[in-house]
Amino acid sequence: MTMNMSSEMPRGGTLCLSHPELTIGGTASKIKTAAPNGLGVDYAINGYIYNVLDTVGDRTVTAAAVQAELTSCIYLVTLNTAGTLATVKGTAVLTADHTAGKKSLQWPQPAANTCPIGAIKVVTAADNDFTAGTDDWDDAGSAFTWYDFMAIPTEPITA
Amino acid sequence: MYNLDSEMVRGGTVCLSKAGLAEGTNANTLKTAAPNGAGIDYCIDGIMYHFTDRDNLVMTALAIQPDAYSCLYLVTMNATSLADTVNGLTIVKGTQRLTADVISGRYPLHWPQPSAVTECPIGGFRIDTDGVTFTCGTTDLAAVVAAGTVTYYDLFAVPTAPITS
Repeated sequence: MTMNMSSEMPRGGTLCLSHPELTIGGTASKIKTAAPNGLGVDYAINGYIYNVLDTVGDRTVTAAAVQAELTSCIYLVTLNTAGTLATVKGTAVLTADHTAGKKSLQWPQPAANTCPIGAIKVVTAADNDFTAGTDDWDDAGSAFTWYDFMAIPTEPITA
Repeated sequence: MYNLDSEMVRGGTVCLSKAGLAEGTNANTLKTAAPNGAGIDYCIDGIMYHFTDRDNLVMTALAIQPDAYSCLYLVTMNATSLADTVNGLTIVKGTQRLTADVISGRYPLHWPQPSAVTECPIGGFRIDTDGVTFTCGTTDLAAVVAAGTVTYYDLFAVPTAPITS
């Protein structure tokens, strides 16, 4: 099966056009982009293209509720038309349930008029919770996996 | 929801880089100044092209826009834009409306259609005349800036929604 994008003229469109290379900020509770193109991220919202430069540096993430110990959770990273970064906390599940295949990790939904550019999966260990906006993105008691997007993947993360 | 995984993607006419569209150095011209520092990647029917940033792009000659009107102009590139050292781009004039009618919400400004399916929209600009007229290809954009407003847009594709104010 093929989907012919030329059969009709594309209109609108919200997606990330550059590899943002999301990574931990110089201040470890923040994040930053380090695009391999050397300059920054081009992204589209409703058909309009915007750009944020890597030189903006550290970006504050959205303060979120605490993620309990022994859970897994996805934090979606988005940009708006002004280039402001925000994170959206997904639904945390017990890591044991996730690895057993009982529960998958669903990608959170972005706010309206924002473009998903990546995500971070956080897996907390015993006796260690995680709070986005407060804790470091290399917290010793948690494991972090970074994702860069063109668009939110279709499938959730399964064990 | 448009699921790109459900079927293999074929074709596609979209701009993949922010063009950084702006007024050119010479009168009656535009330029591109992509923030990536190299130029614009865009594709037409699935085939990708690159346009190196260039100044003094000649603007398409179009009909006059009277004083006190607002209008959207769509800027497109085609497969031979890079090789065309004079023009490099095509401009399409939209439907002009009295600025007062746009501001009051009586009429929105609709984005024009590209002139052909072989043209890729890479940006556009809005002209609000206020004490001047504007003729694309003849009137220097600086003259509009002095008496009116020029607003530039960089596009991935033509926006779905018109501009309503």
